Parts: sequence; C-alpha cells; structure tokens
Amino acid sequence: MESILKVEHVMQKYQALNGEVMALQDISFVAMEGEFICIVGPSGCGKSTLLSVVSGLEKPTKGEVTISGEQVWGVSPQVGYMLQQDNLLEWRSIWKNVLLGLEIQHKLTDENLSYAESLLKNYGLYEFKDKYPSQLSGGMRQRVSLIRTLAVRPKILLLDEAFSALDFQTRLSVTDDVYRILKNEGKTTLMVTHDIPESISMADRILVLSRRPAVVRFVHDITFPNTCATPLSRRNCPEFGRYFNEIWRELDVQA
Amino acid sequence: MFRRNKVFIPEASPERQEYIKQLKTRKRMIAFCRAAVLMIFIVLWEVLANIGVLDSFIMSQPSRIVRTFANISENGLLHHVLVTCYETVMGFVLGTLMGTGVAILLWWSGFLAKVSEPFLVVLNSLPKVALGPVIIIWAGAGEPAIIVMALAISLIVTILEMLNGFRSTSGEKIKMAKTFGANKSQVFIKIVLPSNMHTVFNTLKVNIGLSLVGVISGEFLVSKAGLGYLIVYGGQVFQMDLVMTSVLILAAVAAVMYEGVVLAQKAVEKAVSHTA
Repeated sequence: MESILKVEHVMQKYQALNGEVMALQDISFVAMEGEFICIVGPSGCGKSTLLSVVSGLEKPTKGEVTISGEQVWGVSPQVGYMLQQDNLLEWRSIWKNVLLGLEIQHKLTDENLSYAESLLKNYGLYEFKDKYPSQLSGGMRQRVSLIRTLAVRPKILLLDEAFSALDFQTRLSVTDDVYRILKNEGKTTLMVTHDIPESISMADRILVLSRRPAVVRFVHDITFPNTCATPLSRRNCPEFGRYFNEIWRELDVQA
Repeated sequence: MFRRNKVFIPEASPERQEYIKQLKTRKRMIAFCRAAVLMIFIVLWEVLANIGVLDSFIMSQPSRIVRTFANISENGLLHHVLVTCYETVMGFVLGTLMGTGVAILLWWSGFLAKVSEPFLVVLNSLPKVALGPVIIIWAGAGEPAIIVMALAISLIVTILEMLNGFRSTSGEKIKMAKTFGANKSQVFIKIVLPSNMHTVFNTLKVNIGLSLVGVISGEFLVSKAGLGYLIVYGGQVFQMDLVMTSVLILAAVAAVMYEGVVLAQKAVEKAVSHTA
C-alpha cells in the first residue's frame, strides 16, 4: 500500500478577542491507501479542527497537508467530507441531493450520473430516488449523505462524528453499512468520533489525541481475526475488550 | 368492458372516522362563527342606524355603502381603486426587489452589514410619514411621491427580514456545500435562497400591508386620485358613505393581494419541488 495522505507538523491557532486559542499543537501522521483511521480524543481537543484542515476548509497556521504528493490549498476535490448531520436539503429529491456535489463541481457528466445511479442501486436506495428526505428514516438519510459524498469520487473520506445524531440501534446498523460501502469503494477514511467502541469496530488504526492543544498521544494498530470482519462482529471478538480498556485508560489519564 | 384501476384505500376505523368527523365539525364551526360575527355586526349597524341610535350621516350604514358601491361606474370609484392598486403594486415590487437586492449584498459582505447596521436600525424606527414633505419636494407632488412613500415604508423592513432569514440559514448546510468547493454565489443559490423561501414569502405578505400603508399615507398628503384621496375628500365633505366604502375596498384589495402572494408561494414551492 502507498501513502495517500500526509499530515506534517500541523499547528492551528485561532485568534479571538479574549485571547489566542491553540487548537492543534503538532499533528503528524500518514494514511495509506484504503486505510480506515479513527481519531479519538477528549471533548473539544481539536478533532474536528484537524478534519477541517485536512479538507482544506481551514489553512493551518503551521505545517502542511499533502494528498498524493500535492499540498492542499483550499478545498480539494480529492477529499469528501461527511458532517455530523446528514444535511440533506429538504426541498430536493434524494436523486437531486445525491447530485449536489457534482452540480457544485460542474461535473454532471453521463459517466458521473451513471456512477451516482449505481451507488444508489448498490446500496438499496435507488427505489427511493424520487422521494424527499422527510420520507426516509435516519439511517437511510445517512446513507444518502454518504452516497452524495462518494458521488464526486473523492480519494479520501472524512467522517466527522457522522453517526452521532442517530439512535444506538440505527447507528450500529448504519456503521455496518457504511463500513461495507467504504471497503467496497476502497476509500481511505479518516473518522473523528468520541465513541471508542465505534472506532475499534471500524478502524485499521486509531490515533488518540491529547487534550487541547492536541498532539497525537497514542497510536493503535487494530487487528482482528478474519472471523471478525465487520463492525458488528468485531464487537463480539475478545480483542475488542482489550482495545477498549487500553484506549479508555489513555483517555482517562488525560481527562 | 373496461375497468378503471382504483387505488385501494383501507377503510378507516370507527375511531378514526369519529376523529375526522370532529375535525370537520370544528372547521365548519369556525367558518360559521366568523360569518356570524360579521353578519351580526352588519345587521346591528344597519338596524341601529335605521332606528336612529347611530347617526348614519356620521357613521354611514351598510345599505348606503352598498348603494355607493353599486354606483361605482358613475362616481368614478373604479378609477380611484385602480390608481391605488397601481401605486401599491409599484411600491410593493420596487420595495421587494430593492430590499432583496440590498439584503443579498449585506449577506455577501459582513463588513458592509456591520457598517450599515446602525443606519438600518435608526431608519427602521423612524416614522416614515415624517419624511412625507421631503419626499414630495424630492419626487414631485404626484404619483412618484406616493410610490416613493410606499417604498420608504416597505424597504427597510424587507432588508431586515430577508437579511435575518439569510443569516439564520443552517451553518452546517453551508459548510456541507463548502466541502464540495461551493463558492459564495453557489452557497447562496443552492442553500441560502431555497432555505429561505418561507422568509421571502412571509416578507412579501408583510410588504403588501406596508405598501398599502405607504400609498394611503402618500395619498393623504398629496394626490388627485386614489382611495386615500377619497377618504380624505369624503371626510372633509362629510360623505361618510364614500369614506366607509373606500375603507372596505381597501380591505378587499389587501386581502386579494395577500391571497395572490399565497398562490404565488404555492406555485413556487410546487415548481421548486418538481425541478429540484
């Protein structure tokens, strides 16, 4: 596997009337192609800031982010970003919601349209394409949101607490679906979550951040036997508890 | 023999039927009570005027209003109605277009919005009728002054309402669009404007009333025709029938224009949901 994303010595400071806030102190890591990396850390430690920097929405105060060897300047079409809420536009049909990113990027080609259609078909949403978001369940909305992000064919996908708005049962099922979709599509994923079990169930690697200003405090390579190949099955593996206890202890030490 | 396919609708349970029946009864009762209140008011007014409790010379009475209205072609009322409608529509359209334009500009530039904030607040609090003499001098004593008056009354409210709506657009939705690389005009066209269709139409509904207030105020100050002119004229020569008829027509004009906006809103929402 080749590295696709490099985050090198990223520092992010914000200026406010009441002083300076250092969100990220010195973050460095590399993501390999197809890898699923989870970022966990105490509340308010700068996890979402890190994603904003990687996506190009925010320019880092110091350091640099490179994707496939090219430095990120502004929002990169190679990065897809899925936020906490599904943010589906209620006045658009599901199909039109899926096409939003392509419209914005002026990429409504026949090839891209058929790719978007195939995503809807593959992930069981094609028959709902003329429906409106209010007619879909929370889990389906989240899948539509993911397909909208994938439709622009990003190389890297950023998930910012993307399932936290869902109830626990839906969340488990959506986690499974999303994991399957991302593995099928071979996407490199960077997911921020405050949910340790969720991160263990999905990640190939977990980065544990310190309190603000954040640095990468611990790194865990997550490996499970082949019998535990899906997020749901991972939760039943004996290794799951061990990882959980380690990460919990690391977060607890910082709290 | 052809059989038409029918959509199968499961029969509602007795409880549901009872619930729907109650809803319909309540709706009918509300409509009936509204009509009854109006009828009682009109009948009471007519009877009290007939038996001399109310002086119909000062208070007018429904039958005299109907007679005045029936002679609409002879007394030139229609001309006055059309003049007021024209001025109101002009004031409404100009106020809406200019107000929306300025609101978009202020949404676009946070700096401009900050600079203009105190001016907008003061202008909003200022009774615009006080500007009447200035407007007459600047725009001339006639129709333009009346339209400018309508514009003055509706413009600031339009700017503030629209701007508040634009600013209250979900930041998460805007961020989502930006993650796809949306520029500011794309954010506005694809997210902010469609999110605020209800704000736009609510502002239009308020604007109709404000434009009418502006036009009537303008006609009170300077006019040779229009319902405002008729009201002032009728008051001066004690033709209360004319005054009351004009007021009722004014109410009807406001209601018709309001319904027009409601219909436009439905049409736009339908079109947006079909094309989106």
